[in-house]
Amino acid sequence: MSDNTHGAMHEFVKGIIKENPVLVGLLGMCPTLAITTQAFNGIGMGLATTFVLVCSNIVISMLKKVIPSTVRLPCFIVIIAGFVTLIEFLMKGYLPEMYSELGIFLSLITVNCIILGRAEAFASKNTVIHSALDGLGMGLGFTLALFFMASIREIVGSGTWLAGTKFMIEIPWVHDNPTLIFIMPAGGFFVLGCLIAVINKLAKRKPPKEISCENCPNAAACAGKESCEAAAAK
Amino acid sequence: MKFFKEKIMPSLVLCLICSLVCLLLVGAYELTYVDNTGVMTDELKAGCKEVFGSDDFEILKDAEGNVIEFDGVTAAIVNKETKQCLFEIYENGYSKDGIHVLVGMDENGAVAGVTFITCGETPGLGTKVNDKDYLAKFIGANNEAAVDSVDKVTGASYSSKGIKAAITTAVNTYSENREAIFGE
Amino acid sequence: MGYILILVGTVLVNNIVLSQFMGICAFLGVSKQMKSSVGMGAAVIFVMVCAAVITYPIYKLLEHFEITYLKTVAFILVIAMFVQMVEMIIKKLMPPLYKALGIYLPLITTNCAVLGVTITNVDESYNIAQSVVNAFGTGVGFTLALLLFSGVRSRINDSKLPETFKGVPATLIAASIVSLSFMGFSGLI
Repeated sequence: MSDNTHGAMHEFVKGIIKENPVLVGLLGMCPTLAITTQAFNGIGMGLATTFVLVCSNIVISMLKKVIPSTVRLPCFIVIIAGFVTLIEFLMKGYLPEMYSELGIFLSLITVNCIILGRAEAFASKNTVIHSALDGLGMGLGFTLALFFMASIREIVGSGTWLAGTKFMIEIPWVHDNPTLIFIMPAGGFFVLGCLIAVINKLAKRKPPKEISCENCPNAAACAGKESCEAAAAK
Repeated sequence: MKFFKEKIMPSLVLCLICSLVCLLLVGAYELTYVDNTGVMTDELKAGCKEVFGSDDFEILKDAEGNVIEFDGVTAAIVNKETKQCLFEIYENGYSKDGIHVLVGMDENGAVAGVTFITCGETPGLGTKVNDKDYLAKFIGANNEAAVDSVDKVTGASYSSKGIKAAITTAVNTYSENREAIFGE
Repeated sequence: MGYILILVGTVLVNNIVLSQFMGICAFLGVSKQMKSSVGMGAAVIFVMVCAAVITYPIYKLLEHFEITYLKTVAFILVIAMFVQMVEMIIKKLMPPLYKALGIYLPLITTNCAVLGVTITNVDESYNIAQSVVNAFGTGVGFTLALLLFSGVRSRINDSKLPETFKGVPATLIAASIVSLSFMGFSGLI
């Protein structure tokens, strides 16, 4: 029993820091760069992704015996896209402002590699409870990374923090002299690069971890490793 | 049997999952969808109050009760006694339909005030146009040239373009459709 | 005139990678060499244009039944199916073409840039010709960014960097500078 709880705990905790999908796994870069201009948006996007991740993990691990392996990819995609559409309805109804700020990236949660990657690598092989915890942990790790990065960009780039909520804080001097470049596209790449460098330093990770198909879980799902490696090597 | 298992089964399962997902979504849509066309929502009332100080306005409808649309204007909100009206307008800024405003026109056809309902522009950059002091610069404009003479906000060129386009639409719609709006 | 505006807009001003942040994974993963960048770029242009063409009638159908909110589900399913089918067909019928493009095709099944283009087409309510131009321009913009960046990256590999910045951080910061240079186009239209 205690062993079981320990295992479940592990599935939950690992995604938050040790295997953080963005900062360590280098996945889901597109939303990480695009919508992190404001901390509140980062939280919104993170929680929306968490919702989709948890729900799709649960459903996929429940259906893992039913889905034939030849069509598993389209099945996963349809299930994920369904939950994305659901979260679109909810956000349109309750947070219309955020809905229009996140815009197209809300629909693009469907193709976020974290979700399909977890479905393929974890949920299709594990029990429902473990899959749900794994999804929750990964989602919260993603939210944390987004929130962290968005906070840096918002504080330096527009001199506020948590704008759009009632907890909004104005940073005295920066607010009048914001470094606009941080909330422009170029600043996104820059902040993420620096953040990963800091994580590298803290974790004393051997640096040359490259973004390539080897650590993209989609590659295993969509094509098989050989063609990926061939593409990378060519 | 093997043929069935390898060829038919997968397609059947996929179809089943697709139709289930779609059915559930249709259900969820029916549950969550609220038709706000032609309804004075709280947001619209708050906007009217901010511009004219009263929310004694109605959405302009034709005899069958359909909302009358003008080119580029989603709805006209009118007070026939004071001859004041507001136009609800969606305009593209940096993002599609990122600018959703109410433009109020006074009885002489000049802009009486502009207020945002939602602003979906880049936070910190495009959202600068949603600023009372900036929007106040448009008050009193009654033709395209006057709207055009207001400066853009630095760093928010798309959003400034969008808000100016929205106000121009309002001014032009007023001057072209004055009779239709107030039923004169 | 409208078509040229769409083309310039998608290739330079609103470059899909450098200012819209779509397709980052493929951008960073494949830009190591010039040669693979060309192959990937060609595959992306092909898939985007085809996706634009096939999603157009599907959206019309959804519109007819007033269920446009199902577009994400319908589009992603059709795109994934289509890419896998094309891959199988050219593997069987045109081996030389498969050798040049085929290996990149599966990588873009779930690329957000492809789904992004089809959704943009719908959001902007483009007609079929405009959709194709938009998809083509977006693909060219992707290829352009990939080519430029693969040149930059080959220089990074030759330079001395602090240990912590080696690998991904240096790549991202270089991407930030390339993106900065594309900001110069923002006044074009």
